[in-house]
Amino acid sequence: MEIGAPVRFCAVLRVHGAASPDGTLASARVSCPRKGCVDGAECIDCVHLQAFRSAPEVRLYCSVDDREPIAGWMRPKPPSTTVDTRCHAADEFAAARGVHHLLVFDRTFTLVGIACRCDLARGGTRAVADVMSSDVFAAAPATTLGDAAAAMKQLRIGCLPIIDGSLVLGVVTRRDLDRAGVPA
Amino acid sequence: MRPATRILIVDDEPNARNALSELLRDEGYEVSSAVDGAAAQARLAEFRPDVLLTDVHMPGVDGLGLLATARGMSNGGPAIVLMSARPQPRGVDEPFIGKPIDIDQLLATVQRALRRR
Repeated sequence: MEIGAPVRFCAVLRVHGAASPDGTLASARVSCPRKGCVDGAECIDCVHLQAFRSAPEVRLYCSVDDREPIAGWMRPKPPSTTVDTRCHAADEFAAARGVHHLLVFDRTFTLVGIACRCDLARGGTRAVADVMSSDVFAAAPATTLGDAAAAMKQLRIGCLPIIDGSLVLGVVTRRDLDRAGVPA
Repeated sequence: MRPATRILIVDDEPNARNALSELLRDEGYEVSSAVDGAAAQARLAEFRPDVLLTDVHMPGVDGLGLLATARGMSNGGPAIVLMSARPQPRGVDEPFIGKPIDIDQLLATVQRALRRR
């Protein structure tokens, strides 16, 4: 990076899309980390798009601002379990939902821990409360992508709940930050 | 072997610079970049580009300021292509391309600018 350059963006996302029959972006379906699979025509108007080519394959070069609020990248309604649930049952639930972490709530619906599948797989018939991590670090929705990535790296955590007061809004994982172009 | 055409990219947005650098290198061009007009003015004599691809709106020396510098070069200067997310500036007849950049359109514009040189 050049000295004195404005450090606004920290990453270029290269999004590869399915080749469209007529080779145009407008008729292509592209896999956008922000919106999922979208019509290429939406990308042409996207403020994050810097440059693109439509043939021989669709390639989009999109900007990511690491000052962007993390709320835009969180997964709402994160899969969760309770302290009393047996580990093997919680592990099966996490596998079925395709996630590595489960938020753990107590009987008053308070977030009290995070359990990862590695711990749950070892837990067998024990209660989730016995294997979960009780040190829960959380972030506010306005936290920037850059700050969240730095915190996750420093704390060595793979899952960051996003909270508003006592209300859990969602979670952000390392995979989400990778998709955002700001790896933790 | 014919030397590769040299292109100097000038844009204050790092991602635009990086994306264009990668795309144009893939096409076989020799590419260098500068963060703004002032940095590009210093780079012009050193890199001696065949094509100057510059953003119009930049802090400090903008694309039009750079255009004046390039036009005044003793060797006739490089071919110039302007780019911007806004409409083409009035009174400027240099080849222009809008953002986001369609690389195929850009390649055609670069060839046209080289022919005009």
